[in-house]
Amino acid sequence: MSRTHSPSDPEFRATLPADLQELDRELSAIRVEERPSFAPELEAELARAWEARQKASSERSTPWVRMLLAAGLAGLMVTGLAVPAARASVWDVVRALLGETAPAVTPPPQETRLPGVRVDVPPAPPAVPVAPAAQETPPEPVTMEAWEPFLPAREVTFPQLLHGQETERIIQAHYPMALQRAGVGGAVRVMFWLDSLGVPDNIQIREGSGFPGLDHAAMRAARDLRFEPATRDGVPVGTWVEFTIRFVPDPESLKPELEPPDRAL
Amino acid sequence: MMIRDEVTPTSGSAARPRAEPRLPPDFGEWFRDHRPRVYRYVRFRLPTREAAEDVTSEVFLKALRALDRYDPERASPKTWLLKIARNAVTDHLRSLKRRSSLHVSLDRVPDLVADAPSQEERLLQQEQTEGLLNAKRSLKMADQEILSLRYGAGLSNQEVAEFLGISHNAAGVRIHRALARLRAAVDALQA
Repeated sequence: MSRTHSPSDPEFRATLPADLQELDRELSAIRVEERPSFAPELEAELARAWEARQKASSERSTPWVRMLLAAGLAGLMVTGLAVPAARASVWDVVRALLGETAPAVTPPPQETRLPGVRVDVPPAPPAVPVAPAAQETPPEPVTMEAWEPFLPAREVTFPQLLHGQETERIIQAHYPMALQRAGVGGAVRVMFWLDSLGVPDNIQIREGSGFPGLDHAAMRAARDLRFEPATRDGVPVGTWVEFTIRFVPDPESLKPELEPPDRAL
Repeated sequence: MMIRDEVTPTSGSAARPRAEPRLPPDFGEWFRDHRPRVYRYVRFRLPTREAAEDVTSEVFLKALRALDRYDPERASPKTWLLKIARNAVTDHLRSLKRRSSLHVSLDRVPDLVADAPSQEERLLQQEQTEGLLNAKRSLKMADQEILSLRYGAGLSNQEVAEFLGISHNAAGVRIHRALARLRAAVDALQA
């Protein structure tokens, strides 16, 4: 049997009038007797509740975590396969596992040097057909045939610039005159997404020239360029393109804008 | 309490005792340290031992469920448990009011007692105590609350002030006034 009581507070009691001091004393003297079995019963009940809670918590969390992991993995696979490069890599792995050599893919040109003013305009790279898969190791006929409908395209062409000579004019049109006159030139490496219609989108500067005016000019020029889109099995597809635009000041433009007064006379 | 597994032991070995459920260590300590205080506070505010036991059980179950949310920087375990107790008492009194009933045990065993040298004096004081607490229940809730904290939970005036978020002086004044109103209520009942 537990007996608890309130401790008296003589200091506080001294501040009370006599009748309230008596009341304070009576209230402080009240003892509360607990039923002897109350505390152990309650403690056991609490311990059981805690154990049940822990068990329920672990049972709840396990399937939830599993489902979350499974969903994440499935999502990763689906989104990964939506990326052409990732899909091609998967197929490469499949081919390797099946013993077939992966097709030799010619990488796209790293730099298509588009000239600025008075710079040679090299022709855009010709379409590079992807070599068919090497037949050095004969594939397992049945297995590869089964995979054939799912394999990536074999015939790929890369983007080509349209209106080659026009390119020079487009770039020159965007070359700020003030920079030309100041003799400021430079190279800007740009990257953009070329959609299946051959229109640049999402243009970004990979390496700037150090002159913001030239960088902006390169972005504007890239936006105005038109391309023959890349194709896969003859079907136009979007692709990332990266090349360098060089702005070279024209010696002619370095002439003073105004004739000297004595020459004008 | 040791619970033995009911499954038949194999190869004649003794039945393996199942691990007894245990409280989290901190909570077990709080239970042992603060249960008497919480029970006493609840008992001061409720008319019967049975109701006090029910509500005290509920207080500790609620605290156990909310253990993850306990913030030691905001309140000590004692204050935290007493605040849960205050809310549980309020809920209980509200439900009693809705049902317009009180739990009264038929075979009531006196649990509010006073130290007294003889049995006669003890009975007399028992009556006085019941009269005192009955009179207390006629007071406003705020007065009942502060007297239960002071004389039930056994908090000092400073602790009462911290619990209620008031100054030490304000706590003293409120206890003083509540005592004065209790004195008047006791006199009115005796008259």
